[in-house]
Amino acid sequence: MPQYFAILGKSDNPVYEAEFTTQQGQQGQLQKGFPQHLKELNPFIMHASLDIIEDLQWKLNSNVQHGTNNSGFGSFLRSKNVNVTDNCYLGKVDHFYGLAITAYLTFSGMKFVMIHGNLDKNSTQVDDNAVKSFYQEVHELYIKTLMNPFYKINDPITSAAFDTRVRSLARKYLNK
Amino acid sequence: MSSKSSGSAQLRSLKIMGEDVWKNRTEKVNAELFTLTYGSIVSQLCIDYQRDFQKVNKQLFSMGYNIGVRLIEDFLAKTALPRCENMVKTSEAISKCAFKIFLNMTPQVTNFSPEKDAFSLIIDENPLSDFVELPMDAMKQLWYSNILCGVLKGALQMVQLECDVWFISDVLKGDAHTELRIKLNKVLKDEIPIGED
Amino acid sequence: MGKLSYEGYMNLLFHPEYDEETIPSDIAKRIISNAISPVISVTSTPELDEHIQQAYGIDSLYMLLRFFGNCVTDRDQTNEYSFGEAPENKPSDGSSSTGTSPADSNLRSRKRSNTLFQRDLTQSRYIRFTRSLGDLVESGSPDDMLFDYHSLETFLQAMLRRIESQTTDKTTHTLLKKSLYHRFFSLAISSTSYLSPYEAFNHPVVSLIALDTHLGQGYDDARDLLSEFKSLSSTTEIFPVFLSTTDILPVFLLCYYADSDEEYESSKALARKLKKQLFVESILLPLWKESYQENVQVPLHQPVMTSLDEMLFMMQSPVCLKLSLELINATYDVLENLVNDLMVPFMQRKISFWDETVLQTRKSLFHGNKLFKRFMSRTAGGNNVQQQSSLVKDKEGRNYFIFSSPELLMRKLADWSMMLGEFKRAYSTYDLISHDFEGFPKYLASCLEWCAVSVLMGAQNIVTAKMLKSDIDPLIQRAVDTYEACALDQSSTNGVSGSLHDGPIVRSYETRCLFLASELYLSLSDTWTSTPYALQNLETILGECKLGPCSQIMIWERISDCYYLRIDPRIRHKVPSAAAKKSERESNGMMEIGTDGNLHEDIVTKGFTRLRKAAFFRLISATMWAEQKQWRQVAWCLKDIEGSYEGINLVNRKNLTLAKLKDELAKKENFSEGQIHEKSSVNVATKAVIE
Repeated sequence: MPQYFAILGKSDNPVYEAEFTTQQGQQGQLQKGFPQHLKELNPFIMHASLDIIEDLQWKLNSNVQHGTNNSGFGSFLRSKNVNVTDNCYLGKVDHFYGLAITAYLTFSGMKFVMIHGNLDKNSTQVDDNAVKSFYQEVHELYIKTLMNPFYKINDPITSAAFDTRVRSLARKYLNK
Repeated sequence: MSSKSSGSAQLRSLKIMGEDVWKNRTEKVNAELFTLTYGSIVSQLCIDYQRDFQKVNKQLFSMGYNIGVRLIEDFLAKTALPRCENMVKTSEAISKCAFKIFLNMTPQVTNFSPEKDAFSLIIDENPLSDFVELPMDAMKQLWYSNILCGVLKGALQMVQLECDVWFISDVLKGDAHTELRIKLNKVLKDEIPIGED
Repeated sequence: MGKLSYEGYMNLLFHPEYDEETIPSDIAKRIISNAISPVISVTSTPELDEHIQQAYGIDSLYMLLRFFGNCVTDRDQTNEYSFGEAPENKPSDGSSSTGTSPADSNLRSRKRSNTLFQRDLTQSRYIRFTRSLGDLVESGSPDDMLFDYHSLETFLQAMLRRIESQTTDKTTHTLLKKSLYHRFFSLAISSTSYLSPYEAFNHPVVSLIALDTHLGQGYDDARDLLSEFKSLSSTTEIFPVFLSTTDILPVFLLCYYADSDEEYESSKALARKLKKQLFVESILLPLWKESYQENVQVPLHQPVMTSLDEMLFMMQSPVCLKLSLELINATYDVLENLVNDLMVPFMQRKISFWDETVLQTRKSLFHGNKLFKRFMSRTAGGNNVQQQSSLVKDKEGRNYFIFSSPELLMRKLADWSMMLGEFKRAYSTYDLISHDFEGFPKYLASCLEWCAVSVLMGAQNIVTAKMLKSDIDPLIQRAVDTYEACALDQSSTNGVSGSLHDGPIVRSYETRCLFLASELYLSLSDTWTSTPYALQNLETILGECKLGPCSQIMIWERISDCYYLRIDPRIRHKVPSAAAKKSERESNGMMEIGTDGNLHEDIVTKGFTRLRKAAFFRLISATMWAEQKQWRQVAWCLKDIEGSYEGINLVNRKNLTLAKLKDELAKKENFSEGQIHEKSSVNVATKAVIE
């Protein structure tokens, strides 16, 4: 199942984008990326889900239920007793005709968003734990990128190393 | 300190002293703050010199030189090291004491020239270049940590060692190691600072 | 242009001017009131029809009267006149004044409140006209669909073509599109010709029996026509068991020649005689008069509520009919009388009669005692036997409740209460009988549907989020589920026997239910809480209901509208400015990020709107319009979303949908512009010739 992943800045500017497909698997030739029309539409689907992400971002009480972890999802930065980055993962925030959209917020308000595609007609099941780990590790990579003095904040991340690492994380967690 | 004890003992004592000073007598600063401060200087220089990296290298070097000529005073005050007889000893002092005290690392000393007047420092984890990834255009020319060369140059000059200091390779450029070369040109006899033996 | 009237809004397409006016959020309630308004069936004699045909070029009395539907006090048809002329010329002297006091007060209230705003929903009486009952019974069968999605699609395409021909890409389109959607909505929820066994909204309330006194038709003709009407159930073989002429008020319409006082007097005498001997009221219509010829001729527009078939027919052969303003006003006067003095009192009388004879006895049976009630429903045998007795098989072998059964009478009581705007009574009645219909899913589904609708229409003054969640939405869902179960049940049992139509029939009801609910949700004031329910319903329509491609896109666009409406009430006042600011900010995009003051103001609105969602669904609609080659719609959709996507490089790349659509559109425009240039040069030439 393919994914479209992006890091978006505060003015909805893309900082990093990638499409993950399962490669070199035994069934590799069967598993492909998104169909063309979705490729053309994915950024829009993602853009649309930002409304909901922002809603969750600024929500005071966490009465929205999603994800598996029940410890304060949906109240980003608001609950104090939650482990550091647990709060960042918003879980599945949106859906569009079988596609699931998950999101992760960094503390500076960068949005990590991913569209999970599916190959069969059923709606996509998201393995929250794996996706969360993926986001958390990408978050770490992102922090490292930020620390690079040559990286100008809010600029697209062009580093090949970053890309490779994100893709290997995707293989590790998302396309088992 | 006994300068006449055996080589290995002396080495150990240098090491112990370095660690002692690092532990007890060095003001520490947050590593990330340090790294970012240096990083922002370098990237600002790149902007100021319109990405003429030769100039950036030069500027970093001269900044380092200015630090070096002052830092040696502090270093000697803290360690009260005696004069080193040869470059081997100097190399050990640099690696085990100087780097330890100021950057909390101990570069590996290798590649002595046959005449024992030049050596290399292999810097494994360079705190200056943590997180750094060079932009494509800077890969070829920029020596990101060139300030170190300047510092060493300045400091050594203050103890009458006229050296050339330069980087041979840098992991930032995709090399296997970060290697810094120090070559002694001559010992300045005439300008022994007052108060030194 | 001044204020838009209800008719003006619904028929916006037929009016040449396109103002950007805001419309009240409860427009849906108005449309629904109109859609379930009392039906008046029109029976006339062949002689009268022929006379009308000669005088006005209209085929029959019904064809004439149908233009006078909708809100009678609005006098829509006169609007056409005032559109062209100075408004102070608008004559309201009521030339052939039948000047009773209620009519006068209505005249005054009309002047005050013909606009979309300022009008109290419950005060305006809408009516619909339909063909004679005999015709209805013969032409329709209970198997008819509420609406045929093919016709709906054809209609929509015709409308779209019309729009395309009358507008440009630059036309201010917001209001027009809203109007189009509401038009579409009104057609999907109503149909005048279809007689449903399960609900009484389309059953005629009044049967107008018309005579031409000018041609000498008199008492004998009236008596014959009346007895013909009364005996319809025995003379017509397929007369439905759920219908009865006893619940329809017969009224004679005497059409006379107004220039002859003698004839006026004799008509009045006839009316008195009819009342004395046949106990039937009459109304007098001065259908003919010399001065009508000289009077200002006003073109007639189509009534707002009209059946889909009629609408299609009209669109295919548009004939511009004109009547004199004097006649139009005279007709409205007569109709106001009919409605206020005869129809409404009749309905109220019936309602209170049913209330006493059926509803109260039922209520007293239980005394509100829940324990007893539960006992009754558990040993439902007794109850059921009683109900079985009111079930009757019709000619086709279907089981229906007979018109005189308490269940159907109560249903009628509730439906009529709805028509009269007494939503509280309607609600409590629907609620009560929905228990009786437990074992009859088709009856139940409709009952649940209208139970929910009555609440949303105004049975409760304030609809809270809690009510939405725990009462109304479950009702709607249950109604939809019940409809669905019926559809599945029908298609599985009847699938073999060839009755493939039943599924779609029930489906069309399901669709209506979802439409109704979604629009009513949107009419609530707290759109933040209500839009999710509307969205859910619209998505169900897309997922489950059968609709043509263009109809589906209409729903997609409506989804987008919903998202535009989804604004947290706390920041509602900020949003328009925020949208403006957004583009401002983007134009200042060169400046350093972080020092931008606007960002801080925006932060308040973050998460409280769904503008990006809205833009996304507009984009989807645009792509689908493009597939249907509706380029005007594509252009408008793209115009709507311009601001939202401006300056966001994530979505503006060459290889993405938006850019591709723009390209495609630009290509089409260049192409058609070339065509237009050619055409316009031809036009100039022809114009020159004509002039």
